[in-house]
Amino acid sequence: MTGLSAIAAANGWFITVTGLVIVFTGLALLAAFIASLDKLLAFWDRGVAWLQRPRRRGSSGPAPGALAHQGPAPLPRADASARTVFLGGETLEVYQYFQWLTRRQGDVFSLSRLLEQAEKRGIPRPHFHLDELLVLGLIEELPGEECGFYRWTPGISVQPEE
Amino acid sequence: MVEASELRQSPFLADIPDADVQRLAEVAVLVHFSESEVIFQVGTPAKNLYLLKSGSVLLSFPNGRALVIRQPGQALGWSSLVSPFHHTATAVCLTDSVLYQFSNAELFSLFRMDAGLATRITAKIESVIQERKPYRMPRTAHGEGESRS
Repeated sequence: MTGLSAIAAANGWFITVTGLVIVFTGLALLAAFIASLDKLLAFWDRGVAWLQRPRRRGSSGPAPGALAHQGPAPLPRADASARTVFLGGETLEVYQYFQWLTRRQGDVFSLSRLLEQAEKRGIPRPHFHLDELLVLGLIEELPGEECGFYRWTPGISVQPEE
Repeated sequence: MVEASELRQSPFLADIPDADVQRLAEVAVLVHFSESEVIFQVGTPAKNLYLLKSGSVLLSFPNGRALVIRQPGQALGWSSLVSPFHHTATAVCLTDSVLYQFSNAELFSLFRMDAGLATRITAKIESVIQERKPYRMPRTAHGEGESRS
């Protein structure tokens, strides 16, 4: 027995369809997983922030994913008057990334290092958004001997745009 | 070449006589840079002086310090007029930017013909060098800078 009749006799069609179903189900599950990865990671970050909250009092602040509704971690010299800045879409996302990246440098950070790290991580339009955050006053230059280094301006609250 | 009247508006040249601005306009070239584009790199030969027309440029120094140039008329690339003619910082555009570019060869030719212009431009460059001197100092307070001068 050869050809199509041999395939039919050995359950070949059933095996083929089963194989197709398994492969496409796997691909569909993988696609769904990738599509919801940002939500899963945000959920993970919130979980980590929640777990670390009791231990990080007075330290550098919550995890990046938990920053959407919060301002930057206040620094000791918080003399700026309270102000709210509304950020939307990509700017808010980049703001959160930048907060996370600068936390690794400490309260005072270097803009060139920040841009370098942002580019390495594929953050969208880091130069443009850095300029935007500087113009909005969210990032300020330090005075005196520390000139040329920057920090998140204390006393500014960042809220997502409606 | 650019229009002298256009160049006249640059604060850097505010107190430069009209005749000198006219000469500078004749050697100036308007150059456009895109967001994230590098204008010059630290340590590379400095061949051009720039005056910002529009946009925003980040000057990054090897010690980690950085300065944002956003005011029209601010100068970049003063190293093109000062020995050893190597850039002391990297200039990268934060936004799309337009600058007036002056070749140092052209400027030196102008200076040879007009000592007064040379004196005036040199004085301006000197003030820019002094203004940016703190940015070239190694960082000491937090001990994080690369301590390269």
